[in-house]
Amino acid sequence: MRIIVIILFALQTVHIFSQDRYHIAGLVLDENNMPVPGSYVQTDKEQSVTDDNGRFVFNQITAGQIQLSVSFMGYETFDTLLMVNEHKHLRIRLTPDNIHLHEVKVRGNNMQTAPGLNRDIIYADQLERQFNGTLVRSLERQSGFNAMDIGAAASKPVIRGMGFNRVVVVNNGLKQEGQQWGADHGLEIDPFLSEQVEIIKGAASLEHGSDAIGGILEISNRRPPTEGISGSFHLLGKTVNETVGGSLLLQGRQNRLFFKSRITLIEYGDYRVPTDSIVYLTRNIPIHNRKLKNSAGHDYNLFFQTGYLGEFWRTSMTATRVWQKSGFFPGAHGIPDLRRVEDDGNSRNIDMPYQNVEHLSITSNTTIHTPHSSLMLDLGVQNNHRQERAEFHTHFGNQPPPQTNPDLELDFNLTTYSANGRWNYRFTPIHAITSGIQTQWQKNKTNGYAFLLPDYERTSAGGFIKYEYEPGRRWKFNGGIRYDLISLKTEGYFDPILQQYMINQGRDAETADFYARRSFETDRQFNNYSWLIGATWNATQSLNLSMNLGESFRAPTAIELGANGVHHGSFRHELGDPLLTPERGFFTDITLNYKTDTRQISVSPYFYHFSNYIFLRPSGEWSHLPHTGQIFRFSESEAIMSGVEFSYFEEFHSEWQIEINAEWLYNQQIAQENNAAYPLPFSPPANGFIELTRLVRSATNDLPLRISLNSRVASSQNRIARNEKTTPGYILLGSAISVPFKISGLNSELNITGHNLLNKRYYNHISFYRNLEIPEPGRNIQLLLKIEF
Amino acid sequence: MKKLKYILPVLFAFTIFIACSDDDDVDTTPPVIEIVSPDDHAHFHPGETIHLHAIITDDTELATWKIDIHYNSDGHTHSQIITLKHGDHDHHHGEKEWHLHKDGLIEGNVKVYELELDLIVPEDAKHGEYHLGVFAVDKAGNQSQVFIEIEVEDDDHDHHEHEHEHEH
Repeated sequence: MRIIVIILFALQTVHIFSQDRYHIAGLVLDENNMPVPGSYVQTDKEQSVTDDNGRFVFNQITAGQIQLSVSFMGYETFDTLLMVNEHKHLRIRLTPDNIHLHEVKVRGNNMQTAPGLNRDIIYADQLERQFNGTLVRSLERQSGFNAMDIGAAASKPVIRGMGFNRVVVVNNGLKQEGQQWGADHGLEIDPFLSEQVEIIKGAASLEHGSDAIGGILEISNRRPPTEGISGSFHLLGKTVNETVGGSLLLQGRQNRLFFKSRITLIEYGDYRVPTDSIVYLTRNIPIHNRKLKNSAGHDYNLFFQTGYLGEFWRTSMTATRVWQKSGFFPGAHGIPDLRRVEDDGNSRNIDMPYQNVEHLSITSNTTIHTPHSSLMLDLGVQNNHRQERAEFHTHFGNQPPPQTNPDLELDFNLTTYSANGRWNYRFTPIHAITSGIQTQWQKNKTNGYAFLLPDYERTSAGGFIKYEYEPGRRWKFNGGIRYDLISLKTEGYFDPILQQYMINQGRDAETADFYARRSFETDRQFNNYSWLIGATWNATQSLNLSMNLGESFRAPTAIELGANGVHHGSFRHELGDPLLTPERGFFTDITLNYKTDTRQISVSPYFYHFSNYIFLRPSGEWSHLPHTGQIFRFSESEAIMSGVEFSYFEEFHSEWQIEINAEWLYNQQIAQENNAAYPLPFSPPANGFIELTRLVRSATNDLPLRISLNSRVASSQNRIARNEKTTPGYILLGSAISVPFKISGLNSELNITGHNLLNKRYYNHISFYRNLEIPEPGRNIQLLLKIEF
Repeated sequence: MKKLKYILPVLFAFTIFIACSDDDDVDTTPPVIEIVSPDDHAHFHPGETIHLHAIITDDTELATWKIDIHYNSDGHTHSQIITLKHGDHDHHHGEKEWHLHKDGLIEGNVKVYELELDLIVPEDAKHGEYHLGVFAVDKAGNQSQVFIEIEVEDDDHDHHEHEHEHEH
């Protein structure tokens, strides 16, 4: 804290001494009143680059006339003559020139205007070409990023080998909840919705608090549309599971007022796997017609946004609604049984067991920009409702079926209210300060004849302050600290049926009570701090090196604290520990970036140390619950994690492009006793992606025709945690053709993509289906047609 | 570009440092279980004795075993099939689902363990299909399990072989 006081004092002095001269502070905006970071600002004597919020400041300007110009690629240069006789605060609006903004945007990755974490930005048009069913899968080629898949239509993000509650998904400024529930359901996001996706790798707790230990997936769709009515239409087809889908975007703007709306409907059948049988728990289970029975589903999404662009501010309200329904493969649900996998003659029906996921979110985002300040206020409410349905079944002979909703096995209903505020202030060209607060309140209600997750209430509040210092063009420094208060109350749950069952089985009263206590009542307070310091050194125009150092934390979840019972997805008896402390991770990474117009190379090694990594440890004690093996306890262990990410992109003669991304990672528990230096569970193997693209440019079209051939490679994963299976490596072949054309004057694009062209049978080590021995989807030819209007 | 000369070795050294951590000397190999008897899909009458013989082996050291027998009623979608199969019988004369759970420690530094147990099918065991599971855990906590199906049938039912839907 003392450091900040000193800094503030220092800034104050700067301010006082500059009184006899004047300063010019400016805000550079584009045609949509959006700030333009990274534009070049020049006066007769000085030059500067606008910061993340599109601002610049010149101090120590003597009275008189001064020439000012602002330039940015894709925009006409702004020139003006200023009479300086007082402090000047300018708002500069750039007008686009007629060169295609598109082209500039596409590879505008790593804009690194501020020092910071390793980040990749992917825009909608690139996402479309990489489209692979879900948003997370479409991003899988990025180094350091993996998809934890559940069949062909659901996946969760994994950054640097960390997933679930160690990755935060931020949608329009607010943390998306619910994706951390179990490995068997995916992220509730319309795969067509994102206009921009940013992958932030490294412990980024500073702005989002608990959980962002691995990184952040930040999704935004707040770009205002152009004047008038416009939109686009997407048509999707996939062979692997006979997907049929479509998405319609309709948007409009009249002067300052705008709206955007989207409807997406996707339906899919059972997906194809390149195998006739799988081996699950030593039993041979046939896969009839090479289709994974009951893996069909649908995904319906609605989106509506309306907003207003003021002179200095903009505001928008966004509502999204997601309905997902997908079946579970019944052959590996618990104990293997052959009758359940018999062909029912219909590959598009969704039979029990299945899950139903509904997500509703309403957010409001407001930003105020002035030449000195930028203020952001994000408010939101979201509801995640997930239900699993399976014909009533019980492992305890004495449990009667429920009176209502007899098929409802599990029901989670999570409501979250969030409010975030952020204020960034730039004093001088070299000093800026950001501070913010985040608050969140959550309530989870459960239902159903099975029990997994307790009811709970969670409140969190955190505040941070961050300081950026840029003494020259060469160096940039930043540092910040954050403090969080989290309170978690979980309700206890005592199951009298289970208690009776245990007594009937001849167990003593104490044992029966222990098992019947399905969830412990807890009331925990977690107070925690995090910090981050970073530096960027621009060695040359095209080469920079940045380094980060920080500490991050994650508060234990309700399951980790209070679970006691069989998790039917993993079929394990999981036992929580009400005394767990927040997981703390120290991390450091270095990123070397080399970037020219046609070449981009980035190498990024990283290292983490966890004082108490929370994971499920096999206890070696048998559970007395029917069908289960040993008890798995949520335990803490010291652990290290490290790895290297590499990416390379080059364009040759505007005709060829090559992209190579690779990742290697290593992790291990630090053994305290009996030689338990095991790797951590769910660790992706070393993997890479390579793509070669031929661009064919024509005079009639702005965009080139693209033909690509790619390959995804993963090494075998032999470093496994206990009770994981080693996974062999694989090489997959893919291709893509992207044809831009015009239908009666409308810009259109046809993308034909092939995945797993050789129909290889392979396993994804971090997939939910891996342990059930279900291979990944087979060959897939995908057709995506886009028409813009 | 001259600076690269310094940066690259630093990065390289960092990578080497993290890559050179000790190799794991940990046991992740689960035990192997072979059920010698009874046969998969074997038939028994109430009151009969099932002779269970399983050979459990591990590459390092075994710790515990467990057996679990339970009625296959939770088979989600196939419960109806069972009803149909026995539709012409009436099975509600005070029968109870048979559930059996037994476990034990494997003492000493043992790599191969022969589990032999005589299990008596209760007189009032509900007729139908049962799952018989044998579980084992080694010293490190690696677990494996094997399931077979057994059938408990009426006394008047002869020991003739049923036609099974699936070959193994």
